[in-house]
Amino acid sequence: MRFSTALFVWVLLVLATVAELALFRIPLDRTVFTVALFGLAGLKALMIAVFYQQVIREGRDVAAFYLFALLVALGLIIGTLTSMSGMTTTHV
Amino acid sequence: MSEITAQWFQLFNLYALLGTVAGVVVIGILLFLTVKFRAKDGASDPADAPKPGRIPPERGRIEAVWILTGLVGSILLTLTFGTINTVNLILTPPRKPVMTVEVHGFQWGWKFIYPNGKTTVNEARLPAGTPILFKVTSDDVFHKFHLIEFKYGVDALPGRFNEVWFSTDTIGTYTIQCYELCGAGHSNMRSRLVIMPPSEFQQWYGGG
Amino acid sequence: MAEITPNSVRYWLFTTNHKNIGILYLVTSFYFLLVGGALALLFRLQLAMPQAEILSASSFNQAVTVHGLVMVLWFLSPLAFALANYIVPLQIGANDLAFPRINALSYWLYLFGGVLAAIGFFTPGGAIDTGWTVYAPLNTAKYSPQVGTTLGALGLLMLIASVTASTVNFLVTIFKMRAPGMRLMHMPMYTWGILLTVFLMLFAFPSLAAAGLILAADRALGTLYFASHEGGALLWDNLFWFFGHPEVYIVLFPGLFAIAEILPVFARRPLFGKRVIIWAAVAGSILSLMVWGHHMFTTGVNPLWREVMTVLTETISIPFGVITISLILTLVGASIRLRTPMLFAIAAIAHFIVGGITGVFNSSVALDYGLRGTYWVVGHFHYTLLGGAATGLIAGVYYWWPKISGKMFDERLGKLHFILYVVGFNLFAFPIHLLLDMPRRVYTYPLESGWLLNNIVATAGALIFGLSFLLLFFNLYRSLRKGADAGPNPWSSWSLEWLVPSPPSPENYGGQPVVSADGIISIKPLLVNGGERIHVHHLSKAPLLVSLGTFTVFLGLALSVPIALVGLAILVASLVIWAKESWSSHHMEGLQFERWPFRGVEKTRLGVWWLVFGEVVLFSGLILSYLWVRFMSASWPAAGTVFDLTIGAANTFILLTSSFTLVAALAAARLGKHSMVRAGLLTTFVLGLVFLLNKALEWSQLFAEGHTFGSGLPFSAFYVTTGTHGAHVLAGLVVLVYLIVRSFRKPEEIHQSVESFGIYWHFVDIVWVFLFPLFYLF
Repeated sequence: MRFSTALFVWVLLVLATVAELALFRIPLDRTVFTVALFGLAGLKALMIAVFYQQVIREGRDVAAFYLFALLVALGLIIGTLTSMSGMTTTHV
Repeated sequence: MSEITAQWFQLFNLYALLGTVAGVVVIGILLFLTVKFRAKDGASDPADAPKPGRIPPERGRIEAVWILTGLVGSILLTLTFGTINTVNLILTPPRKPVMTVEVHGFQWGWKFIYPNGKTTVNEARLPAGTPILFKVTSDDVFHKFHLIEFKYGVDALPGRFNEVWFSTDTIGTYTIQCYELCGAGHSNMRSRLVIMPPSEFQQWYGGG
Repeated sequence: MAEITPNSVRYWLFTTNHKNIGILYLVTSFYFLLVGGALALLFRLQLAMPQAEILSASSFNQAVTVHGLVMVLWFLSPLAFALANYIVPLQIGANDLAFPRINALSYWLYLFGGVLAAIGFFTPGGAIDTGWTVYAPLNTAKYSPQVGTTLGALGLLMLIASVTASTVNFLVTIFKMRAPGMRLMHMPMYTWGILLTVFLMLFAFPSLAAAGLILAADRALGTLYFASHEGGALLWDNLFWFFGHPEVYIVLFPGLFAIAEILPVFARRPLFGKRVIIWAAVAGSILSLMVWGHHMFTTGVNPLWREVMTVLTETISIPFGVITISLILTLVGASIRLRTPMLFAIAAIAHFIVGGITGVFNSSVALDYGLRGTYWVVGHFHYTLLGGAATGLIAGVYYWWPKISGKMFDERLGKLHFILYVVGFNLFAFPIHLLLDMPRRVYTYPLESGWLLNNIVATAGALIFGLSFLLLFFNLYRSLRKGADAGPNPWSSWSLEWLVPSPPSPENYGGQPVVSADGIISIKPLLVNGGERIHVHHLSKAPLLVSLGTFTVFLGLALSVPIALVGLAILVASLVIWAKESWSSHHMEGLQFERWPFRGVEKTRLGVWWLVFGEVVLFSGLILSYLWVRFMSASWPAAGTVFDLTIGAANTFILLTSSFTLVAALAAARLGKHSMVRAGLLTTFVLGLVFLLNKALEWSQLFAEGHTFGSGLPFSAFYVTTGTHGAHVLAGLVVLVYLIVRSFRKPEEIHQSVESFGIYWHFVDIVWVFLFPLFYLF
């Protein structure tokens, strides 16, 4: 990819990080904060994957398996955390 | 013995019946085909036999697969309904008054704490006919609180109580054992479960 | 290396040829079979006598634990990979795996990992004794203080490294190194089985790796994940079984697909529903990642979650039912020759059916309340894994033995083995189901229980079954001396491996395999570099030395630090040797053809992508563990109060910039601007180094404040998660050193390596992009 594109992406990544830090300072509803924070993180990750790892240029097959890996990861996290709720137990 | 145990065995027998029939039929077909289509000595190859260097042709009709899928699926659906009913029974305590007994698994025995503070080790005495709620926990590692003759139990985890209810009308002495490997003493982590007539139990328990 | 004699000891120590590695795996896996089998016979004898004292309670626990670990991880899968190593390249038209030295590394890591775990037997307190499932908190230092458990866990980590390397290797090989014209659907069934197996391995093993890393940290550093109530039993349960369930299919597929390969050959008809079988297996694989909850039905987790797991688990029986029925339908209208491989294949199907049916019982939450922790479960998995998968692999051994050795085994001995095997196995495994009251892993039981008779029968069966293996070994050994010459195609099969001599020449074909449009495989004369013969012995010292170094480091971590330092020295030296070896992969280029899938993705880069996909799951396991202990905790320090936001933010900017400088270096490399490449690589290195130095500063600050590994869950989670990430940065820096040196010495063609490295480095950056908010801002 072109050097100028890489630089531009870098600027965006830095700005997104600054935004995350700014979010931290602003008093926000917890849910809004969480969604915004991890939304920004997700955006950064996507930019790195698309522009630096060049996922799209690699082709649909690589992108498909990358997505699949992500789904497995989310399945592990969400699948495990949901097992916690409504447990027929109480804390000691 | 106990409503849960009776239902458990019903469910098990249902699975066993369907499973045995399915197994006998399928393995039977497998063996039958093996014998029926055994080649006679010196038999020649069928037309589509493997030939060196030739990718084998496709064989088989998709319809057969769908039919079989449907068949297997319906069997499983039947079983699932039976399962859900039984699980609900295990997890839902009845409306009659319930006595709560805390159970602590430890390396290597079982401690029972009654509502009035009475504590026993490796012997649980309970009145017949009264629904009991066991609140099971562990004082150290992962154990399993299992009522052998009644065919169920629940895991004993450190830091939390797992609840399971129990009731039986049958007087007698039964066995509780740990069913999760928990160290060198695992094999002997056993407790007696004594079901007594309610009056005898009251005498022993002393009220409260 | 040209002066090393073929078949000398040094030849076998340094070989990287896939056929030799296959033989090494074959011999070693059978050795571990003997180890695991001997342990089994010991405890079966113990259980056949009431109140026996052949084994003490503690020795018994060690025996069953090591038996389980060895059989699943050091025998079954390695045997599958022995065949895979030898046969898969031959079947698809490759003349080796994509990365031969990495292949050798896989083997040596596997061997040394097993040795490391076994050393536990000779240490005070004995070997690991927690059951092969190593449940928490029994696995913590408090309840299993003996060093044998730590050695077991570390041996396991070595095995996981071995397996990960193999996974990447086979995925790249199968996708990129098939002969021209060989489409995926043309591949023989065993190769398909291995493809699906490694695909599952890629996504399942990282969960175990995460659990193992955390356990190692808990035991060696004092972190609190499994020792705490918040983490404890359920966290391990989830991580382990997320791996554990797909693992059983990982163990099953090679045997199952070996059966699918063998059946048509001896039935003399094509496989019924080949496409359907493959699609069903794909569906089963994906489902297998979603059913781990059925190992946790009695733990008190969310009841609805359990019902979902029941339904998903029962759904898995459908694809496997379809596969089984398709296999059976292959026999309709067939002309069956009941030779030894076929006998074992048919028995394997029958056993698998029994095991599959008892599995349906286990999928029911209600029945599980009564069956969990009992011998019913033991019966189920022995029918599926031993009766089904292992039997299928034994069929494969008999089937491919003539190709590997060039000799025919004795058919009557084979049939005798078969009879004793089947009788012994069923005599052992069937009564086990009748012991559905008996708890697992007890070393003795009271006579009044009534369990004695079934135990005696099971032991008798086990003895017959175990001894039957002697027939196998004798038969194979004898064939080497006295067997008839097999010729290229003794079974009149169709696939490519049967078109070459038995055993094949070192570079496999003496030509270029090609598949024509109408499905004919042939071998054309070679047209690479003017027909020059390829140097195929590929000897390299590095894989053995790297494994030895790793082994020594881990041994030292468990026993004493000076040993670990010696190991580190060996490791560093061996990596330098690896980097400096003049390794020509030119001969491979001629055998790589672009077609779907992964058209245009160069081999090494594709390998890095696969590695990254696996790492996604590894980090998700670590992140899950952090979220789990956090949500289970009654209170947690607010963001900004314990962890230094300035350092965290600085590190985020640093790592982002390092990605940018690496991309710049790649752009320069493509344009041939060598000095810019060096500048870019050096800057990336410096930034990475600063990242690590910052981290060291941060950690020492925390330590100075008294916040060490065991100071509380927030710190345990922080150190383990960001520490693992830091280790990945460090590993990246090591590779970067190699790239920098190369950018000075031999900068031509460096862009491919920089690009491959970039995939990894940017991924490490992505992980930090999530870790930063998770630990510093949330």
